[in-house]
Amino acid sequence: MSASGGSLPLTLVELLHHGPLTDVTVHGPAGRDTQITAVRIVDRLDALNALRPGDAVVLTASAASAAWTVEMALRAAWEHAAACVVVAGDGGRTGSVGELAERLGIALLVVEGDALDVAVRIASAVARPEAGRTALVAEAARAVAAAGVRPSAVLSALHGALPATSVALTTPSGEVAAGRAAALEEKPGTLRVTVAVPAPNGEDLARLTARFRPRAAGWDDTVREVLGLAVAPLTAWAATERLAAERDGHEAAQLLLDVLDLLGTVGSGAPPSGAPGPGAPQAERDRAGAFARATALGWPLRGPFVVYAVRPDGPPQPHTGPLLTARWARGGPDSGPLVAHAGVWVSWRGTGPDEAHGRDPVADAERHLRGVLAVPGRLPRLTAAVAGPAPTLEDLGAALDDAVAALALARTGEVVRADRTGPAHLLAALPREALQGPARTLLEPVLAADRDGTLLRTLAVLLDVGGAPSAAALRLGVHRNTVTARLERLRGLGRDPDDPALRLPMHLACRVLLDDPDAPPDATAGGGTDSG
Amino acid sequence: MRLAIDVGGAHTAAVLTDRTGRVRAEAVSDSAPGIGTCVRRVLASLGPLPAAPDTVAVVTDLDRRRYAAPPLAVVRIAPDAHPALAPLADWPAAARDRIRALTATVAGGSALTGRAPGPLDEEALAAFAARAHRAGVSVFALCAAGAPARPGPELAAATVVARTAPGAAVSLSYEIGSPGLRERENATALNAALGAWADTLVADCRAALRSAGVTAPLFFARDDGGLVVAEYFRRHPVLGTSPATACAARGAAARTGHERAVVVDAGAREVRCLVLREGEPERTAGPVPGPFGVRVALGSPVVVRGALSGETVGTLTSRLLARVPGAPVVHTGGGGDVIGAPPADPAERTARLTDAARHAATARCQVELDEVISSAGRAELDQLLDAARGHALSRCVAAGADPATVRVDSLLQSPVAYLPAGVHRVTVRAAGQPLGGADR
Amino acid sequence: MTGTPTDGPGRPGSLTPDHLRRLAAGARVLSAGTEESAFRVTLDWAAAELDAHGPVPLLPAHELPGAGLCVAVTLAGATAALAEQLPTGEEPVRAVRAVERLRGRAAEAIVPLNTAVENTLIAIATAARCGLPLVDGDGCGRVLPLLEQTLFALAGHSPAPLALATPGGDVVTVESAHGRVEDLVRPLLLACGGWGVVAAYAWPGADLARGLVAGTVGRAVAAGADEGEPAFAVYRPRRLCRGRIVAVEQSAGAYGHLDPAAASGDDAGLPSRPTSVLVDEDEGLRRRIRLEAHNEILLALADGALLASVPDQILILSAADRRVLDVERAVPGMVVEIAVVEADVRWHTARGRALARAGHGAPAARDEGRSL
Repeated sequence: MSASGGSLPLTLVELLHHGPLTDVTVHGPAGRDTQITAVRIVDRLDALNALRPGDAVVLTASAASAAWTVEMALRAAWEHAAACVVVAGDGGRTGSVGELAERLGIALLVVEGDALDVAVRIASAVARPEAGRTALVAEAARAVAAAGVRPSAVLSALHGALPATSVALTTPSGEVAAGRAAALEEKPGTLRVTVAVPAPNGEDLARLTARFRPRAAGWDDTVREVLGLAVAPLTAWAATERLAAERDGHEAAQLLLDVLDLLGTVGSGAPPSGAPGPGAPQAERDRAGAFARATALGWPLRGPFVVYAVRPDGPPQPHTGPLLTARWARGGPDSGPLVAHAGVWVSWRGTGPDEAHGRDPVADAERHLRGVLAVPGRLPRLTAAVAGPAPTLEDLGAALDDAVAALALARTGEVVRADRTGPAHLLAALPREALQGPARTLLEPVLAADRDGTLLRTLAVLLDVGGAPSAAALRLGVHRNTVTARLERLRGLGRDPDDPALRLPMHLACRVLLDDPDAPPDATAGGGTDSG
Repeated sequence: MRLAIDVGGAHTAAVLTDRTGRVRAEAVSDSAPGIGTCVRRVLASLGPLPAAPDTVAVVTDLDRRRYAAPPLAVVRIAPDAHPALAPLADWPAAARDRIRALTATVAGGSALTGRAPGPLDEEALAAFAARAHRAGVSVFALCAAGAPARPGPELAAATVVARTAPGAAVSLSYEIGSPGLRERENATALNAALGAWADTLVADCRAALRSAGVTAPLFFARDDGGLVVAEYFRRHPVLGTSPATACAARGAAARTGHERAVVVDAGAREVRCLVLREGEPERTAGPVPGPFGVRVALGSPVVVRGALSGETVGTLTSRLLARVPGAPVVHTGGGGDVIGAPPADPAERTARLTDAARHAATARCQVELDEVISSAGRAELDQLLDAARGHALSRCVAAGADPATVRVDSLLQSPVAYLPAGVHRVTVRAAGQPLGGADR
Repeated sequence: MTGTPTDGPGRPGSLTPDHLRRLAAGARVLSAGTEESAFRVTLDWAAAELDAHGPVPLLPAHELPGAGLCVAVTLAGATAALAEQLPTGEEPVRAVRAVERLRGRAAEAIVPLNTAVENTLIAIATAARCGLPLVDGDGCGRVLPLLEQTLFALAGHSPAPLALATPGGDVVTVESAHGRVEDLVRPLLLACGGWGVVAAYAWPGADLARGLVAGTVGRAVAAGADEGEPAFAVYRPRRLCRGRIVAVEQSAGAYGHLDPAAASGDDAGLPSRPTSVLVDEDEGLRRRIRLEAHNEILLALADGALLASVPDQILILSAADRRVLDVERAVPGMVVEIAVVEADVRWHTARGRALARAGHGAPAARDEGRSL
């Protein structure tokens, strides 16, 4: 009872999906790679010593009469790399045995009917594996049709239909939008079949790549045929997604949140590497769905990225969004999506590895942004921030946060770089008017003794540099001893920059009293020289 | 309303519970030598009852007072055995001193398979009974080989004794013990010897209760904490010679909510520990020393006794905890302070002292039946098992349970090793709510 | 010969009542399910015979009378029947005398058939009563249910001619060409109330020595000298694993038909039901252990692989106090150790295994002949 001829053996999955068995309960894994080469009927336990790899071990009623005999058979099957253990007419005793099947990773098939009859039916399927393959394409068509248009479901259907095959849906930039990343890995002894998935407008939307070990002759045609079944649903899906996104910007905003959220919660680097089945955790399914939709919208998903945040002046108007979107689109396809996020508009685009060489991508981005914003139009004044580069998708969220934070500190009409904002920007954002009074009260002894403001500036610089006189001397352009002398005076006035209780309030007070609200942020950073 | 009174060596506790088992009144008083005094005192402390109780349960141990047993006649109905295995041969000398017994072995009985080794030697039995009667013995224990399988020979022998020694009290082994002739014989002899103790106990309790105006049916606690009605107790006193610890343990378990625990019962003279599983005391599987140190196999709770000291208690509890790993140690009884148990405030102390009575006030009537049955096939086996259930239920009603509430708690059935396939040992436990109303 | 006791230095030269008490405790260390009442009967009986006739000389295996007749003595039938129909004390003498008549010569030593505590005690009572020495050893090294399940039989000695003496005073002698005497004796036992004393394997000492497991009586005395773990250690148990019982299942049982080598044992009289005890190992590989029990634990599987099987003795020990736990008392949640006391190596031959399986309808180990 073994396979004959040149075709490759029946797999366990083929047997279960298209085989001649009805009412099968499977305990343990039905491994896709498990090949069945022969059927072995075991009626006595000593026959278990003679198992061979690939055997489907069918236990007769007497050999399967007790849980322990089935356990012994599972163990022997495991030791001999047999394909599976089959018992007929379960007497309700396989509960605890099923756990062992799971533990050993050997499939235990509990089937209805007589063991010998089952053995004969398995043997005939083993002898004619091609019969199963014709059934396979038909089954795949049925499964793909039933899956609808969601990529994760479509890819699941493909995986279910194609034994021992990994399939991935990738974007033009090479990102895996759905399916298994393993499909893209060149492995010796594997073959690859690729099928293009066009966007509704005919552009290249994505690719389906399948990787498998060569089986029977013509198997790659079978795979191509099955992949082809998925093209139409995937194109239809892209069309649906784009329409929806254009109809409602909120969806994009929500999708961005989902993507960022998932990156935070799932925590694995790349987009999903396997198509999660119905049993996959919810987060895994959410993640796959969100990435697939991002792909459909053409969002850049491969870093490094630069990130923008844009804020129109004044209260929001109903037409602001469309106007801004239109303005953004004029910046060209490189501009990236424009999505409402954290109360402002954000965008990001991939810089590409070439661009990163020797050039400052953020500077480029800043320039690009100034260009976009400089176009006159009906839009209110725009304020913007640039952040990045974010090396990977994982870093996108943080870069967006940086851009949004920098935007909050930027003055109207300005374009700021998040990597250039720092404590000075933070301090610049303080409500100066409100703090003038308390600041003066706190520094009253210093102000009273300070004729020309050198004492106050020295205090500020000392606090900026963490209290080191030599560093402060360098910053102020005076001799170290001068700073030491001023520090003695400050201490004498009860305002010691090293006093932990006073350090922060004094630092704030210095900034409030020293900074010119109209000066550019760089000028307040304390880089000038001391005239005293 | 159900009233229960736990008469201990140092304290007597009384608890009155309502239909739902809630405590409506409780009292603790110092014990006196006489049980009647104890009952009267604690009822006085309890004060006027809000309503007449429907049942009264009494918990008290045999060893609370020294008991002088009347002379006894023990008859083994079996073929002659080795002298070392004769009736009472395995009794400790002290027990033989306290219970004066005439013994005889007369031919008869049956094998466990039901086959009779020979007819009952009625003549020899009658001669012995007459001799005992003349010697002033009016208490008989009869134990026939094979009685758990065939009680017939014992019943026939009882007829002979009744005829020869009119007015004699007769204990029959098939009603009392399990397979294992010597242990069953011992239990039957003890049962006969304890009859007078039970009679006095019942009479004293009844008188004290009546003087307090309580006339509800009177129950006594068994060693496992179940109840039997006074009349049943008088016929089977060996079942209830040391119920106090099991009752206290079960009460403490209910109070603390621990179904699984090691319970330390610190009494006035000693400390007694036992293991509870699912709220039931762990039972002995084989023969153990029973009353007067005589070996019996009654399946009574495993109670480990020790001196009243913190060190002893530590040793005992750690040994018992090994049997129920991780279980809590629950304290009951009044002697906790002596053994260094966690200090109990007055309310806690009262709760500990009333554990046994609280349990007895809510306990069920419980009986068990131990039989050996021989069946030719499955159908007959089922029939015999049904019959055994029936016997257990009617025995439970005889023990004072309300017929409307009796049910079989468990039926264990196991084939007897190396006997024909149809021979099974059957153990049935049945229980029901104590039947209230006028005392019988 | 792991697990096989030999003549140790602590072996008493003769058995006194004190030794008897120690032996009674020590012989029961491995058996959780002894019928207590019957055990007490045999103990009191043997003690009375020692009191009456003085200590019994304990003969080391190498001092067996080479040409002298040795007779193996055992309780046959149900211990529950013994506890109900007490012995008269005459049974062993009658059985031995009957075998002596058949053999035409007097016995010179008594040997216990196996290590069951009742059998050892009855053999001591017999030796005391007959004024003969007791051989320090037995024909099995453990306990097996059938008369022919001995290493004596494995060494080629028939149990017959044998004599069965009943408490009713009957003596039945059996002469049989083949070794399967249990089938003949069993109905006789039922006819006489369920138990009797059998004297069998009446062969010259030199012959019996080939089937003798030496030192088992002395071992039991040594095991009873102490309480708890040291006593257990005398039997040299090997720990298989430790874990928590997760389930106790009814098992389908039915072992015999799987292996034609297993004789068609009549298990009708075995008391317990086939039971599976599942234990999750809580250390090491965290394997799933399955113990198959029917009267005794017949085999232990770890993730389906055979860890141990009869004739080795597989024991469940309560982890808390390392006492042997009766299978019927095994409940989910208990932390237990599984240990094995290996049987004499002669049981591990193919013929030995087949013979040892006969009574239980024992499992067909697929590593037939491999010593575990």
